[in-house]
Amino acid sequence: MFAQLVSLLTVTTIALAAFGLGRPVIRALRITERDRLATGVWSIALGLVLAGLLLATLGLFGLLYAPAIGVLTLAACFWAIGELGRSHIRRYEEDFLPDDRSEQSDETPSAPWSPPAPWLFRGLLLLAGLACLGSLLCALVPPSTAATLDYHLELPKTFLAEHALFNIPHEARSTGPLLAEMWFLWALALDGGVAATLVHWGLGILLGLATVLLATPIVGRPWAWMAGCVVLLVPGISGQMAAAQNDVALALMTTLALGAWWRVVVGDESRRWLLPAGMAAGGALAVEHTAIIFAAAATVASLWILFRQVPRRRALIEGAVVVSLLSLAIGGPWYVRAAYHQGDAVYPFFTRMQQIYTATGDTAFPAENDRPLGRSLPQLAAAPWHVTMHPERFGGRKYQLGALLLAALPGMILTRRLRGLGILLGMALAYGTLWYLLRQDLRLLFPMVPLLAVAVAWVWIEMRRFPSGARLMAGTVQATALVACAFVPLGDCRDQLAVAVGLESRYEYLSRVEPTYRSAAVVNELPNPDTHILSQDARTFYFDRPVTTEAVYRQSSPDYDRIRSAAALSRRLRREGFTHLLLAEDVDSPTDKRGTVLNRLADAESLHGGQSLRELAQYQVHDSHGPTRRYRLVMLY
Amino acid sequence: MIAPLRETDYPETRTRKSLHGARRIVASTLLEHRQPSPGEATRVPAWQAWLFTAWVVAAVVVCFATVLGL
Repeated sequence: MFAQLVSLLTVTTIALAAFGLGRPVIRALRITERDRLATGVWSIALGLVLAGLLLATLGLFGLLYAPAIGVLTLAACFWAIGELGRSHIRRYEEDFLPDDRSEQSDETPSAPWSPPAPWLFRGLLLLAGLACLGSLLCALVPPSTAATLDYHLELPKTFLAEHALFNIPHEARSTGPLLAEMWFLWALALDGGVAATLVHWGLGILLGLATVLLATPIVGRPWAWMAGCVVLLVPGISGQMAAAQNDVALALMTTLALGAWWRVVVGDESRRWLLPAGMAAGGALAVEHTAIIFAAAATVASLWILFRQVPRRRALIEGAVVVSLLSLAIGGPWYVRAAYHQGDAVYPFFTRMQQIYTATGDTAFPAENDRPLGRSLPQLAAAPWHVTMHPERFGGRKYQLGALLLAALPGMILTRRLRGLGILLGMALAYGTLWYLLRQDLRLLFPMVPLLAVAVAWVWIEMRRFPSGARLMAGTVQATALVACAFVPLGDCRDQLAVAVGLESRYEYLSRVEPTYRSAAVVNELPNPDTHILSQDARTFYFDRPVTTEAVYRQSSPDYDRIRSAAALSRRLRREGFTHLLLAEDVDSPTDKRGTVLNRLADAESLHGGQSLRELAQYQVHDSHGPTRRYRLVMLY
Repeated sequence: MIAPLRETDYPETRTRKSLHGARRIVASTLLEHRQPSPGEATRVPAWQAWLFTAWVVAAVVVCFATVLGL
């Protein structure tokens, strides 16, 4: 339990430090003076962007040392405490010295329709709270998903170990946009993998609050809370909050950028909002390449507004230039770095897209896996149905959007027009079309969810104009869907509850569920500091010693598959600095082509009693979502 | 060269205000004064509301059935 408390304290410290970094920027902009929620969310979000930039800069200069990061974090924390104290004193003064400012409430202007019934409001908040609790319990366990361990956490772990941000040979993702990974690096430097996962969970909470900010000027603050709850009740989002990946982080940045941009372009508010819009857009570009698709959708929406609002055309163009320049200044360095190392600023984003389009039906490239919907117009029209009903065809059930969006959004046909909502839906439509054309993966739809959640809130408001019977039935069924969505993350955390509350140790848990952990525990205890492992499993996060995956090694050694004897293999690998092999094979499918060379040679060696390879550990792990796998840790002689 | 049009600046005179008031009196006399009944004017037609409700029920039921593997 103590370890969990330390991880929670670490994330709280990071959030406080981010607030300390971002609060002066927000105060200087003077855009959220009357809205404490907006001040808090924007301060933390911009602070995270600035902190990520700072960590990346430290990495480029080879200064990524945990103690230095700790000292900087503490300094930012103390600054944040000072900021909080200052705002508290100001509020105290306003309470006792009434003037014009004190009459301004903390809330934004109210909407012309009445707020939701208190029981409805509290009920939805309760459901969203249950979903967040479930994902928090899942986030409190050591990370064990493959995508998290072989990329999102492995890269920052490697950078931290080498104290530098560098191009890892044969790992193209090491030169991509890595802002989210910089935040994970921050958590790894202060605590470990659990804290990194909790950072992503915190980003999910921020995403819900950012949706509230996006929806507030459109449907009013009370209903905006409902939209925020809808986002947190999407099973894919609450599920991803429990994994240290970057999908929720991207959705957070795009939502904030869109919310700030909306206030200027549609809400006609202060043009100062363009600055945080540009910073958040830059943050989105620095998190993942998918932000380019969102930027394209935003460009389509901007062109439409330019076409419609001729008198404001000059101001709108100036705003677009400001946002573009600022976003390029913040997100651009990652792309310059990719261009320097790979010769392609967006590698491998468009390379992959090009492969999808050039792939023919009989090629090995899984083009249809990336485009399960096909390419015809009827298939595009049926996409929302298929995406909701068959999420396993679009990346997996863990990314599912749930039934609510599909059920409620057609209600937009019956609703009246609402100022500002059309542009959000237009952007969502443009983004969805690009998603359909480029890559049909569910997790890439997350930036659309907050936009659709605002529309769902408007449908709920308009349902008051329904006859009472229809309203009652439609409301009850949607409430049932929301209750089910709230219990999805609670159900997911059943197997992890013991370790989350400290009844099971992290060591026991990882030994039980993470296939590579037992081998890593053996290797980490070895006295030889020159230990270097060649692994068939890409999950290398728990190894404290250098690990090269077989896939990467094969790229650098084309003749590797032609080695015929275990002795020759052992000699060669020893000559190249390797000391151990981690072999992994599916027990249920022995013809598995992965790592055939290593497995075959190791089998032959053990069969003939050879001395080139010596087995240190062997065990089988049954993956609840896959086959049983046999792992062998072998020492090279 | 096209001469720029000068915007007409209507003076806020008492005459115009009184004229405006007179127009309102005449209009309110001739037109039927109708108190909008709460909710009636903006109510969604029942068949549309029930059609949407049927869609909601169908989508949620099919989604549950798919998730439960029925």
